Amino acid sequence: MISSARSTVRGAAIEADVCIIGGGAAGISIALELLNTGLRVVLLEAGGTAEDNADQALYQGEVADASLHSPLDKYRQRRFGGSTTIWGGRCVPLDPIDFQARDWIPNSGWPISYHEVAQYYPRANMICEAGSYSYDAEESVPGGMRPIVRDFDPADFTTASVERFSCPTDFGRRYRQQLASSATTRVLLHANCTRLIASADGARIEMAEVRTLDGNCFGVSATQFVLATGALEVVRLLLASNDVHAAGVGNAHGLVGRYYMSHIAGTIGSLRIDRPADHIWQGYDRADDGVYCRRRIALRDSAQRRDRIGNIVFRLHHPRIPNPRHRTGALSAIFLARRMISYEYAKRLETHEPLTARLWLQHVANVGTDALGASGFLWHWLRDRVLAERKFPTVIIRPRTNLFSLDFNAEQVPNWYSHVRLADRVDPLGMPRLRVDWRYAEADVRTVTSAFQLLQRDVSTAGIGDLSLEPDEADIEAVIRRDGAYGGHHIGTARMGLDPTEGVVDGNCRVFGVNNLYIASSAVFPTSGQANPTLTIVALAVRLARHIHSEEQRAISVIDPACRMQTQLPVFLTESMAEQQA
Amino acid sequence: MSTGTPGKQTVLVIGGGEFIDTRLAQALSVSALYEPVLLRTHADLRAALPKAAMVVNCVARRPRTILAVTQALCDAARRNPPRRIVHLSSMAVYGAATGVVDEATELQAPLNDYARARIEAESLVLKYVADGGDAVIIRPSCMFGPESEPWVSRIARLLLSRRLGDLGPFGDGTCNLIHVDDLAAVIILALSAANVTGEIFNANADWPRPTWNEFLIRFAQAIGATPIRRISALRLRGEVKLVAPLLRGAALAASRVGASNVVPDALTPTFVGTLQQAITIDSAKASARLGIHYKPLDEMISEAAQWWRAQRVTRTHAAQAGFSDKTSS
Repeated sequence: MISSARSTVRGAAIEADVCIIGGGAAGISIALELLNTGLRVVLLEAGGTAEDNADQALYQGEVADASLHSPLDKYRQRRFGGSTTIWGGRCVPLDPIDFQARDWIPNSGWPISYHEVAQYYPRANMICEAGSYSYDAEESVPGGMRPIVRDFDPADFTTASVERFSCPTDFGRRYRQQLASSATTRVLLHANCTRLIASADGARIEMAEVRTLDGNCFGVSATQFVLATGALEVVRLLLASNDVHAAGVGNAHGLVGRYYMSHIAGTIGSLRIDRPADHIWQGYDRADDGVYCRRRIALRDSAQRRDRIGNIVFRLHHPRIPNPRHRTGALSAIFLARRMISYEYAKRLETHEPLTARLWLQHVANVGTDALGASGFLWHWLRDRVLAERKFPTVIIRPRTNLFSLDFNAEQVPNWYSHVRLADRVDPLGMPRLRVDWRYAEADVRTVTSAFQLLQRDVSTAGIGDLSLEPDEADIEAVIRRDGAYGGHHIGTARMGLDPTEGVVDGNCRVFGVNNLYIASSAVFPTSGQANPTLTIVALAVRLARHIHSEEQRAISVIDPACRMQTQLPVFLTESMAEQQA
Repeated sequence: MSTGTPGKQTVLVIGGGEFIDTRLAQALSVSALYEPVLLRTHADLRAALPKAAMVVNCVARRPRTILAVTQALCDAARRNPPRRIVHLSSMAVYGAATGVVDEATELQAPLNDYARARIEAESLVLKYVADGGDAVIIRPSCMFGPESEPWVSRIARLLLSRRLGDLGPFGDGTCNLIHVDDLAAVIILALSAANVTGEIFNANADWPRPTWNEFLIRFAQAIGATPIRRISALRLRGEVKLVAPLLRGAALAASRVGASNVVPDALTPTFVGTLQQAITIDSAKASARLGIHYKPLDEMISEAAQWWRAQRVTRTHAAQAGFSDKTSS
């Protein structure tokens, strides 16, 4: 059943077995996994089914350095489906090395193994609609995928690693019917959870306080609570729930909001490939199941260990769009139309160079001289992206010259100083807003620098061409600063650890010291790896759902009534009593 | 009642409309106990019944025919009672139910004439039992296997033409299938089972059931209809609401001139509704009381795909040789 919190009886206390806070990738995945278990599930979604300015404005907050981090109401969506309503659909599992403690990366290592998570990746792949769980270039497509550059076998990188693409699936739209037709699942829209109400001893969460923008207020009491918001909202709700836990729920050791990571990502360099055009493939192959797949240039584990750097992948990319030197009509057309592109996707089109008339004219000239290429691209985009249900994932444009750039996605090391905290200002619901101070470290610069140099060497050794920085790229750090924290990848603010001194949650994603509160979010990742986080978020959510189900089966009817008696709850009545009073 | 072959009991198989009748007749003919007589002209029913020890009523498709034949069978059986009637019904009797349904599940208001006819036909059979007759009712799920027009040939054609594929939320329904040979085995077991008079059995493979999306993707891969196309909600609605009525009209017109096979398949509301319906047919009772074991899904898909490819090659060769390109049913 799906209904609005605005029409829920004021002052009611809705009872459930499991209360999920957040209707994005994690929350919806958990609700799906619990659908046929008989458990009564309430899913609280702060937004509605479409983007709404008032809801979205609740995300606004402060950023310490706006040149490094996007505004907090960008890349996040406060609506049913969460940020899957705008995601690009890239699905990549983490690598085994990402889970290991590496002495050259402080605070690395997960308390659970790669295999513990890997067994849930196939199901996560299905939920994300990324097809079969195959991330090897030889297996993903019958007969193997086309090589990036024929006969290029770099020493320190592998090109056998693949990324697969979701439709991209908007979880809210895709799974709405399944949740709506369930007799045991109740989705409440416009339901902003403003506080987690803990028992007097702090050992349990008794109730989630819910408020709506039109002034309604009620509670949800449950046996288990799952905080399934993004990594920024996790911080907000945990720290704002400070009536019993003075420093905030789960924050006894000051870890909530610390180690805030993203990916160090962007577009870098200029790669000239001295090979015939038909020896180079930068695009997608399609698997039997219709899923778009693409090879990546991934740094090998051995090179990471030898050079004591983080994980990183490169992708062959068209030249940087703002620079008209590419002489490619389609790229210039995109540059000229950038005001029509959403913030999240237009960010890569930013340039620090002044937008002179000469620059504009050069782009216009590119479109004129390559009108056929530009119109061909527009037709392809209309047919394969705009009108297609499984969308062509990204802009792939073959440059007229064999001049490419490299897209990179690098691990950011866990960094205590990179943090999220509550700001002084509050939103219309009385919730403190957030202040984000994202920082990168010297180790992050070293990862990208070393990997870039290794690839330069491999390109040179293979004799396939030449890789260098662009003239306007002073050094690697300048590139990192230019592109900043990678938009929607908010990671690590409630990290998983072996004990409360090193983590906010344990290996089962349960908040240390609070027996019935779990976190399903990229907030729990202790390290970021090179992979986009959504697939792992969903895999962990599936794992958590099964854990909760088994816990519920084991612990059914053993809730300590004395614990409830000690709790100083606000006056919430059962739904029927509240209805009678109303 | 008589036996055609010494030691074997004659089983009258009333067919027409579904391929189960011929498969059942084949299965009966290789058994040591039974000798099948396949009856496709229902006018002969009254004359044929006295010669049969048992009867299997496989009549299907048209609601009017289902009711008329079942009524005629029950009337004739009251005069010349066979040892047992096995009446083939359908999972359609469960209508729009969702979740796990077993034989005790209360039947909901039927969705269409077909389901209504199925329910009424079951009532006729149960009344025959109440009057002292011996009958067993089987409710099979979707009949799959070589020669299945609706669940192999039609789906294969739609997949190859990319009008069917990954349906997203419209393919989240539960895939309930039974292999035609497994259904024949259930029927044969029901012919001789003790203490089952008046019982109803669901017949549905008991492996973990995929969604229809998962089935369609696996079947498309098996027949080479790849890469699989993702079908949008808009397109599917257009197929069901606009294209299907036109195609059904065209098929009707074409059938009058004997050319119904030239009209493409329609994605009817009933068919698309089935793919969306999250219903799981529980066949535990048949497993426990009749002792049936079902063919694994992978084997079913592989066998059906092999048959489809082979008959496609045959049709292509026939077409090249100038023969008619008639689809088998």
